[in-house]
Amino acid sequence: MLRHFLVDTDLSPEEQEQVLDLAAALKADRFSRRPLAGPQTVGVIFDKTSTRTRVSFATGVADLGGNPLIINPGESQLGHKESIADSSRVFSRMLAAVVWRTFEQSGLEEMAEYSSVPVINALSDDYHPCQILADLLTLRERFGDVKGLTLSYVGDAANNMANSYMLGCVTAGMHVRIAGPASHLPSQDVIDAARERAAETGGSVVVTTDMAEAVAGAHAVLRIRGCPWDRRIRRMIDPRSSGRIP
Amino acid sequence: MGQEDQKDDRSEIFRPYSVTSEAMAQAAENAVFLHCLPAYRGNEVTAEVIDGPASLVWDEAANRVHAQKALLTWLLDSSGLSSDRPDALRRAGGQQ
Repeated sequence: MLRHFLVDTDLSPEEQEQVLDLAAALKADRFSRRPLAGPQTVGVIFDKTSTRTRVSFATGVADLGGNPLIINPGESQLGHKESIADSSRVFSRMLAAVVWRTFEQSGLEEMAEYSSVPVINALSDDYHPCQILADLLTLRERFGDVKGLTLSYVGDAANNMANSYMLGCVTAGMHVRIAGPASHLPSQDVIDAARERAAETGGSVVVTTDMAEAVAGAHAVLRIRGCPWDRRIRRMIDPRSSGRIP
Repeated sequence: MGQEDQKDDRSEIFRPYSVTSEAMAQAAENAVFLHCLPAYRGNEVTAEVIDGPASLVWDEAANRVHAQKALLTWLLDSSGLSSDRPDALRRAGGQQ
């Protein structure tokens, strides 16, 4: 069955565990799988700039026997001169998978709807699920099992990163604490979705404005970078900016 | 003009959430620090923390590669599209 990864909860708890087991195996034996042998080409499309995501996908696709085709911002007609649906139909006939960093989550959903190859969200306005898989792998390496551990995400929590940390970490059975100013906390619908998943796994979600409450006894403390993520503020700082993340 | 003030205001509201050695001391004894980068030392995290023994940020960055390779492989396997799995080869041969 065709599978995509647009949001953290697209993987069930069991499936996320399979992916992390596979990640550990591929880290131990880097060229042990060649699912892209041919080489098949993976489209890695950026509507915003990227450093880590770009390098990590290019390296990873090559390691798997494939050819990464990096498309930088402004280099494609995707969503401008051609509809996402039509682009997706064409990509499916050429590419083995589509990795896309974009703005609207609905664009990713449209890409997936018309695709016959896997579509991966490499960061949208709403989620960044690939980052959380890397973090879970990192925590596994340090602590062994991550189930039951507490992760505290502190700072600006009204964004894609907080959303994905909540959803991805409770999928792994972790307790997630989110602390930020009252004006910058996650939206209730994402908190509800995370709590629904947590009920399956034994994880939990706490949202607070109290830094001390969030970090007390936590096994992992996590911050993301400051200012540039907030499009409202970006617009204030640079009126020429669309406010979008560069 | 005036935008610098707004930027400062914003930094100010996040100041209580800066990750300092004092904050890390309240966490578990073996607690780790994660940051998906890029980082601004002295702003959201002190250099002492991000460059200190609790920080796993370089492993975290490197693990992007391993996690994404695993994700791609898992998705291709589950979709019957992996080149190195016989069932996937049939499907790939049928693609136009």
